Amino acid sequence: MEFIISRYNPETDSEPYDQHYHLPDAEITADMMLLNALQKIRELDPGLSFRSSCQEGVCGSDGMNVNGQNHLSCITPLSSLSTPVKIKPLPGLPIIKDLIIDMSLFYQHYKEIDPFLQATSLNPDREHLQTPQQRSELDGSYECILCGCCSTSCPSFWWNPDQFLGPAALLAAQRFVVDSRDIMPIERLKSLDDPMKTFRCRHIQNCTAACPKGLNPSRAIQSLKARILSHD
Amino acid sequence: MKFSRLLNPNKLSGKHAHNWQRISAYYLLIYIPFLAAATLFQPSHTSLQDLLDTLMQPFYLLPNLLALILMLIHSWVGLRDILLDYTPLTNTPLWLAALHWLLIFIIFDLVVLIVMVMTPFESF
Amino acid sequence: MSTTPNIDAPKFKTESYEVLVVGAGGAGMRAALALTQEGHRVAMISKVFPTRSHTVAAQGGINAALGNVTSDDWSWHMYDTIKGSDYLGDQDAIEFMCQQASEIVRELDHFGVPFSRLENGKIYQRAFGGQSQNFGEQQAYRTCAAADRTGHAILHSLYQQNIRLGTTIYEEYYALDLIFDQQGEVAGLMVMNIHNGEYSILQSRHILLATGGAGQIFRNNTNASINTGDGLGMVLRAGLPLQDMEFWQFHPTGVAGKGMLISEAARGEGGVLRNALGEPFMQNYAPKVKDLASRDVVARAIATEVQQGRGCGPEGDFVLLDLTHLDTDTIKQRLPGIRDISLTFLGVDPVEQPIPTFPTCHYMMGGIPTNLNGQVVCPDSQGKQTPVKGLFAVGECACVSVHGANRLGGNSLLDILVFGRQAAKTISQQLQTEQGQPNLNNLSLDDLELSGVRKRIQRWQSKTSYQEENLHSLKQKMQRSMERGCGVFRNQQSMQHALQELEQLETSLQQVNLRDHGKVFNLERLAAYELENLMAIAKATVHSALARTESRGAHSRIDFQQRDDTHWLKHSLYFSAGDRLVYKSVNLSPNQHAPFTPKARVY
Repeated sequence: MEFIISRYNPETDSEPYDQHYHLPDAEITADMMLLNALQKIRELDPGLSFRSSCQEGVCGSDGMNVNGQNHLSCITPLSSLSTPVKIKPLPGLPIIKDLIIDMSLFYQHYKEIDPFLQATSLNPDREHLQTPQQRSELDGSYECILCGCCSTSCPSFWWNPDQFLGPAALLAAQRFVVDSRDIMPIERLKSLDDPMKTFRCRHIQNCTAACPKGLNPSRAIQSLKARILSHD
Repeated sequence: MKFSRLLNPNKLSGKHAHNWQRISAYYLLIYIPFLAAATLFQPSHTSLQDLLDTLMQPFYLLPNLLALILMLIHSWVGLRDILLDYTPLTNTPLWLAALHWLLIFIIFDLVVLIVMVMTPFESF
Repeated sequence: MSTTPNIDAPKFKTESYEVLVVGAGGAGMRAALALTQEGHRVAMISKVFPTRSHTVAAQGGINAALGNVTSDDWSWHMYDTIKGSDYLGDQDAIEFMCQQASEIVRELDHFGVPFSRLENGKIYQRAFGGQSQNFGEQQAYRTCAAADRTGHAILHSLYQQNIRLGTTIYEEYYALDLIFDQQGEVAGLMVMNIHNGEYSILQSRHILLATGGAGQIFRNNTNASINTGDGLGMVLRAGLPLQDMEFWQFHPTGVAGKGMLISEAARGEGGVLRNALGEPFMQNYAPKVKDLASRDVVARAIATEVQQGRGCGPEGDFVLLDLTHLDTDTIKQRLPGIRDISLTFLGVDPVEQPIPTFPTCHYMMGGIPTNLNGQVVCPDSQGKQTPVKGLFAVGECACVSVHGANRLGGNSLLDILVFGRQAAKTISQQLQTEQGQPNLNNLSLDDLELSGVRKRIQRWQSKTSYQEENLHSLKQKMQRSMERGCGVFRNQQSMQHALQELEQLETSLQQVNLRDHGKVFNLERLAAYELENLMAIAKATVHSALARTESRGAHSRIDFQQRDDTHWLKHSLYFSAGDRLVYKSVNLSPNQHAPFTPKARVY
């Protein structure tokens, strides 16, 4: 199986270049994930850098652009990929080395939406009550693993990475707006009411197509927009 | 100076732009089929003048004007968004200025057109 | 300043903090949150971005006797935990943990954890293995869950609360070693910025290790690749002991041949294990609670079925976890994560087909010995357990010991939070009493004992000519040795063999050459530091396990099948210098509840 991997080492290279790798078919098994192949390649070339940790799609370390689409390598079966497999770092953010990008801007946007529950003061004897229906409002947003596959596939984010919050941060914003335990939903909506925040989203839907957890940030942003308008 | 004010994306942007886009889209969505039906099912039109006469009747006049205004707003917001998103950052002000002038030109044109259509009634 | 500076020695940038928290999993983040809240100058160091820490992968839930589903009491939880630990858990610590549990869970709710809910709006609780009401009677429902993503929900909520308070976090910094001053007191930490390979010293008189487990010593494990026991390696190199390292939990239901975790929640929701004959075989091993026996019991049962030829598949090397009789909605709502894992890695939808599973290494019961307050303890010259000033450990890397010889499902998330918070409290109190005393933080480099860590850094910065092995193959060989020698069942011979192999591998590790010598994101060098830790832990495990000539909890020896309370109701302490083992007694005197005396363990 052939792989074309984008390489870049800031100590020696002025810009990224493609490197070809070959793994003999005998080493490829039917149930192998892309991450397993990358690990095998790294045995041959220990200088190849990519992040990975849990290897089962919950930590969100190993987002990368594979044949033009953003994926988590650990849950992308090799059998689903056409050869040669072209692997690049997630687009739209600075490359540190090989497939490793600098995600500080992405995290910055996440922090900007105040991604924490603001609840009434703690009662150590009793939990907040929340009906299963209220709790189900959080389904589809709390599961986000911050891998960055969505935001780095979003044209609106590419155009204004420093200003537009991006789908991941907006999905997180929605998660707190709809949480029945949060006491600040109106304030949250007010701060999201900004041309460079919620309303910069054009619903291109790349985020939804890219999300490895099957979440739908575009719909969440739609719902945020509706809430902002109805709270006017 | 009034330029920069009109080009200021805060003027008609974010929530307001979103709202206007939706209002105008809904209106045009109803208005255009209505207009099409109205003209199709009145086979009495034999000339453009005929059609224009019909459309200038008080019953049509107001919805027509509204449609024109909303279409202008819709296209201003839409075209501006496309320019903001797709043109290279250094050229964006230039493109926006061009769009601005284009719209002023279209509005001027429309005003002239309306005045011309109106005048025959008065001068004859 | 009197000593001549060593010209070869790299210069290190230094920064100083009141407290350093090493690791940003659940334990580290809970502690950092409390310390930041108290207004201390805290820095949390993590080798990955915080939400990548392995707490994120915990599935089933966190135990607390809230009594939302069945009536419950913290003392019942305490009993179950002690019985689960095969009586090796310290009863004062277990009592403390179980008493704190309800408050800890309500605090999580307050932090924003999206717990699943019951119709009455309270937190959903599910059945888990080894849980009972009224000291061993009916099944208890004690595990508070956010679907089967509880760890993810907790870790993200804790990170979010840390954002709220603005905790200082060193992301993608690797902690190499503890630094002591010339008087032998904790003085800081040597760290490497993974982004540019630069080393620097973070000075502090209070260091909290929360570096997590080391499941990577086994080939098949549910652990992340970052679980390399870095804190344990640091402690061993500092001449301090590790406790109860022979006890490794093998989770009964890892995905066969691959190792991903299928949560105990699957059995808690009603899943049944079946062998090749389709028999629900757990009834033969634990007639009363069947599939919800303690993890060590279930893991042994599965391994026995396979050994006796009743395994499934062409090789007969796994059993099946059957959920097909469950309501489809139950699976989709309560177990969406394990359904995903099963679909992704096996192409099996548990709604329609059973999941092939086999025991896989999951959790380290042992670790850095600490007391209830998270202070690292070490026997002094008289053998009395004494706190090491300024050094703390919590979470999987620590051994309080609340899990003894076998941990109950749902107790690890509880452990990290209870002791994370408690250690933070202790540190905070110490800092307050120290106020007004001269600031000891700003020591000059000459006052610090750096020779050991300098040697390590130089070792992995230099090139050698040795070509026969590479790091990756060394790690694989170690994992295989441990799997063969120290798996679910062990004996003298298998462990002795593993020990010999480990010693050879250790020699090779000293000679092996790095192939990548770059500075930026040099993951091979990082792997080298990690492998040193793993090797040390593997050796600690084999030495401790060889010495313990009994079977207790997760340590099952074929050559010594009985539990031996007369000789072995005690904790092992392993020192790496001379591979020395000493022992310390188990605490059998809780503060409020009457002690639970060891009894035969039947489920």
